[in-house]
Amino acid sequence: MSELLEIQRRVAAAVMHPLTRQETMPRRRSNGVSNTAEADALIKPNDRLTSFERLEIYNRQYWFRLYSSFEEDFPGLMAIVGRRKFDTLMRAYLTDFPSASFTLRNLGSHLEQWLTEHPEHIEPRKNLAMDMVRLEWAHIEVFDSAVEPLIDPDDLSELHDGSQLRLQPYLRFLELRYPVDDLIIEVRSEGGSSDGSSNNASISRKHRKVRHIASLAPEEIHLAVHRHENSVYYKRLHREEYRLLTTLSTGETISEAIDMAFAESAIPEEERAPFLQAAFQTWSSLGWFIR
Amino acid sequence: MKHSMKTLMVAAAVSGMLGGAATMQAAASSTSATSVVKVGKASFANGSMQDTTKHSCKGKNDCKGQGGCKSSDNGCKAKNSCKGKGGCATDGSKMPK
Repeated sequence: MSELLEIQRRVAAAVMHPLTRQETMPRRRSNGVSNTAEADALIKPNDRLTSFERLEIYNRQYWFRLYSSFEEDFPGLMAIVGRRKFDTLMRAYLTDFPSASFTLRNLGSHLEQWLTEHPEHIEPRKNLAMDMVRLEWAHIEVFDSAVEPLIDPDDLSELHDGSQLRLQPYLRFLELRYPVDDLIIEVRSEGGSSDGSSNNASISRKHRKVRHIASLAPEEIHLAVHRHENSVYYKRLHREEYRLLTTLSTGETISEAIDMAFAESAIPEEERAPFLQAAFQTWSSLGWFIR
Repeated sequence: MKHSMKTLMVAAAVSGMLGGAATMQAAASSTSATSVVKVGKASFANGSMQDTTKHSCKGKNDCKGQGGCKSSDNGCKAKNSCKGKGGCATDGSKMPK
């Protein structure tokens, strides 16, 4: 190993090591390595800062960058669990799943799974928080997932009940228990204010909204998270639409998707054809079907 | 489900797709906004379908649709939370006045 590579790895190990609870660089790492000794070996002191203090600046900035990115990605979760619990949750999660990608876009990719294993961080609003995390992660994926060329209208006339339909890769379908789409829109719209007094009013409104939604009886909500003209949208779906789309997305045929959609459906048989026609027209006009 | 009923429903789905494709082509040649009922709610409140200024990455990246772009402001610009605030110089020096 070259000397430069070794130095780079040692500095990276110091910079990427989690901070203390007081958000300072620990004197000793969890594996026993002394940060003081490493700093002395790698960084020159000057007349204002010690080697440790100079290295600590990078360590703190690295983690503050991760924290701010994570907070920006999950404002809805923060509104639900509160600032203090969110901070604890965030630090614990990022310690278990530190950034391992070239982009911070992927920082929250393990959060849903991690929270199922660590529900203590989201009690007593566990179900509401889990719904929100799923929506916030879907939002990230929908924003930058690929878009494919649309199905050719000339090919539509050849479709039959055994045909398969392909959907845009950016589409995500969620089955939720709480109207977290309404909540996240409220949270994001309240987030832009910088005036102190209106900030207080905004926080108060946010808390009221969270309390209100948390108090609702859980109900079945189906949502399509999609992209339209460079913006992410949340579109409520009927249960039948959700089942139809999720079945199609697994590669099943149109016929099988229709069977699945109307299994246990309350929609009368005579209304199903017009229902399907309207649904497919909407999805087609939104560009959801691809070649 | 009866075969005739299934055939009818598949035909309805396909005719809906044809109608939607025509609507899309018509919309592409006009400036009218797609109805909110159809697209759903904008993920950022107050953001209209024509107004993408609410989109935090607007104008800051060209990676949309190609993967790898951070979903928010942070990921799309060389942001430094200390920029312009002083106090972050790694040699401990103060901001020039």
